[in-house]
Parts: sequence; structure tokens; C-alpha cells
Amino acid sequence: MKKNEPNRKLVIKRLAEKSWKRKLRSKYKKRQRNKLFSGVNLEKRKEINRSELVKQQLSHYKRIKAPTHFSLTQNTEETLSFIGEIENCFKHKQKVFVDVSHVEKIANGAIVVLLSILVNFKSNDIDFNGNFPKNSKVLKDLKDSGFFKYLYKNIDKQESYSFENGICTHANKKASSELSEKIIRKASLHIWGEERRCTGVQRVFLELMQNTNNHASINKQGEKYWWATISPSSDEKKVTFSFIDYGVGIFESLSNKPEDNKFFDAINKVKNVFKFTSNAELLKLLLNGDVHKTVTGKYYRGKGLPGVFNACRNNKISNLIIISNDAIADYSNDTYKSLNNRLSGTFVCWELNENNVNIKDLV
Amino acid sequence: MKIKIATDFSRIPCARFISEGDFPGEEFREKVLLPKLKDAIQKKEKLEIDLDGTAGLGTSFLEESFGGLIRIDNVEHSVILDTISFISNDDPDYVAEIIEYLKEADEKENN
Repeated sequence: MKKNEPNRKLVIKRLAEKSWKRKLRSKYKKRQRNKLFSGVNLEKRKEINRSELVKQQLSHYKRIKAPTHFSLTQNTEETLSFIGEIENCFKHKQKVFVDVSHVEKIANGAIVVLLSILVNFKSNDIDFNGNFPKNSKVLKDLKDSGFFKYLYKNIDKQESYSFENGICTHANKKASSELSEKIIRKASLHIWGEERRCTGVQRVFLELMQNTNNHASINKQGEKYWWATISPSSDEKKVTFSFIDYGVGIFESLSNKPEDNKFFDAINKVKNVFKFTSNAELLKLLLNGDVHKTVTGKYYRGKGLPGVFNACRNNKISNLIIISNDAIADYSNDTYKSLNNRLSGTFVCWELNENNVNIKDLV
Repeated sequence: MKIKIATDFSRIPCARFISEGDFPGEEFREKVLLPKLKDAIQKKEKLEIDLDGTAGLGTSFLEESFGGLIRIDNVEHSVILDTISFISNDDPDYVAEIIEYLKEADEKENN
């Protein structure tokens, strides 16, 4: 700006006013700070400074509290509500801070949920942060899962992910019989002290992985990841398996298929043949095996979910629980319930114990 | 004649189609099962299929492998039943399942 420019004086005045306001603000902050620190020793002051800094750094994050009992099977509604909140942030590309400080109990399934969410955010360049649980058992479980190891790392988009600490977790888009076999070998080593074949568990994996590949996305096959984790029990000869896909879920998948898809208008086709009033009742029909034949018109498709169900019926796995959209099925207790909160995807959890069918001669 | 899936194809068979994963039923039928079956039919010999030794077989793999013989390759149901026999000590349920898939494919495709 030239010296003789007519509005030069005005500009200088405005800048001076701005500077004055800044000084006043700074003075006010200093006064507040002095008030806060009066009578506080140096150590305490440092601590306050640190927490203020963290607060400032995380001011753009949405803080979401994890459930105290973090479990999809034992505290379903609260855990689904938590997942829903995080998914909503993901949709809006909102940074998330997950507060797990107060978590008293964490289940295997919840760990795979946390890991998959972490990878989803980070691989899409959305900031994700969290704190440490105070409970030592929960802290150990999360450490074993590799959660903290990856919390502060950059994660790229990949076809598959593998986290192997005390708890091993894998993710993929395709069906991988090699991977599921590897997981089963690990599980059998814990249960029987040697590697064994469990053909029923392998079948469950194959059906679930293939379902994710075929149905998790409405428009394109092989778009969504499946996540699986195993957790050996520390005091019993059993291993818990958790499998989740963040696809559209069974019922959404059936409702939203395009006209040229074999599942188009599926729900109405089923309604013409079977009586059901909720997705929970429909889930029961699906697991029993007749519904898919009805909706696809292709007799040879839709044997996957019944295959999972039969594996439990024939003692190849135990304690099977399936959650999809707003329905939960507990095979062992023969209960099918509707949920208030929805899972966008499908979660399946089962156990393998020493009484389940297994083959000793590993080839 | 004999086919042992675990050694002649894969110890870890997977899904139905090649697009869904490695070692699918479609590939087993096209590359292993059908050529041997045709050979056995021509030579009027029995074909023994050994299902043991794998990590586990999925419903889609079995249906595509055996149901596909009728649905896609137009092999007659009765010819398959006359030619093929099974060994399945790991999981005896597989045999009943395959018989069911063959019957279902025959009913739907030929009636």
C-alpha cells in the first residue's frame, strides 16, 4: 500500500484495533490461568497444562463413550448404539475419540469391532483416537489385540489385514479357506494341545466369508471386508470365534437388490409364502433354509446360512449367536428377538470346545 | 478310478465360483471331476471320490461340483449315480448332502 493512498489511515486503525483486542484476550487468558494456578504446586501445574493441551488438541474430535460392559452378545443394545454413533461419524468424516477408560468388561466380538472401526477410519484418512481403560484385564485384552499398536500408526487401504498378538484378527474381502484353516489350527492347539481339523468350523467360515463377498454390498460383489477373530479362554478348553461384516446386513440386502439381481423383491416374495411379522422371525426362517430358495428361485443357492445353523445342530460348533440389522438369534437358547438398535452388517459368534466334533489326524 | 480331493485338487477347497475365492467348486468340476467322470463313463469303470483329508467342504463347493454336473454339463443323474461312489469318513454327512444336491438338480433341471 502506498503512503498517499486515501484509505491507508483506515487500514492502520483497523489493524490497531485488532491488535488491541488480541492483547485484551491474551491478558484475560493470563489472568484466568493465574487464578487457576494460585496455590497449586509445580507438579500439579504441569499436569493441568498437559490436560489443557490434550483438551485443545482433541477439541475437534467427537468423544464417544464405549459401554461399560462392551459386548455385542451380552450387552447388545448399548453396544449397537455405540457402533451406530461411530458409524454416523464415519459417514460425516467426523474425527472420533473413543473413551474406553471406564470399560469394565470387553468381549472378543467388541475387540474385533474396535479394530475394524480403527482400520476403517485410518485407511480413509479420518482421525481416530482413544484413551486407555483403567481396568487391567480390559487393558491387557486390548493390548493383546494390537489395538494400541495401530492406534498411533497410519494405515493404508489394503485387500487384507492381519493383526497377530495374543488375540489374532484377520480381515479380507474374498473367501480365504487358507486363512480360516490357519485360524482353526491355532484354536485347536489351545483346546486339545495339538493341531486338529474341525471341518464344521471350516464350513461356517466358508459360508460366512462367501456371504460377505456375495451379499454385503448392494451394488458390487466383493466390496466389503469380513473381520474374524479368535479368543482362547484362559480357564477353559474352549475358543470363541467372532465374525463381522459391515455390509448392509441380511434384511437390508434382501430389501434393496436391483431389478436384475436374483434377490430383487425378495421380502415380498417371502411374505407370499411364509408368515412373519419381524426380521427376528424372518431370521429363523432363513436359518432353517427354505427362504432363500423362495426368493432367488434358484434352488442351488442360499444354503450358506442353513449350513452355519446345521454345524451347530450337529455339534460341530457351540453357542451360535447371529446379529443382523435389528434381529438377534441365539441358537442354543432357541431365541429370536427384535432389537431397538440396528447393526449395519452381520455379526456371528460361536464357540469351539473339547466336546465338539474334530479330526485328530491332521493331513 | 479314483479322485482324492485333498491331493488331486486342494486340501483347502473354498467357494462356488473362481471370483469368490481360491479352489472353488467350479474349478474342481471343470478341471478334475468332469474329465475323470467322462473317462470313467467311457471305460465303463467306477469312479471313487475320496472326500477325506480336506480342511472342510462348504455347501457351495459341493453343490457347484456335483449339482453342476447335471445343471451345466448335462450329465444324466442316473449315470452319475451308477458311476460315482464316495469315501467320507471325516464327515459322513457330506455324502447324503451330495446325493441331495444331485437329486435336487435333476428334479429342477429335467422336470
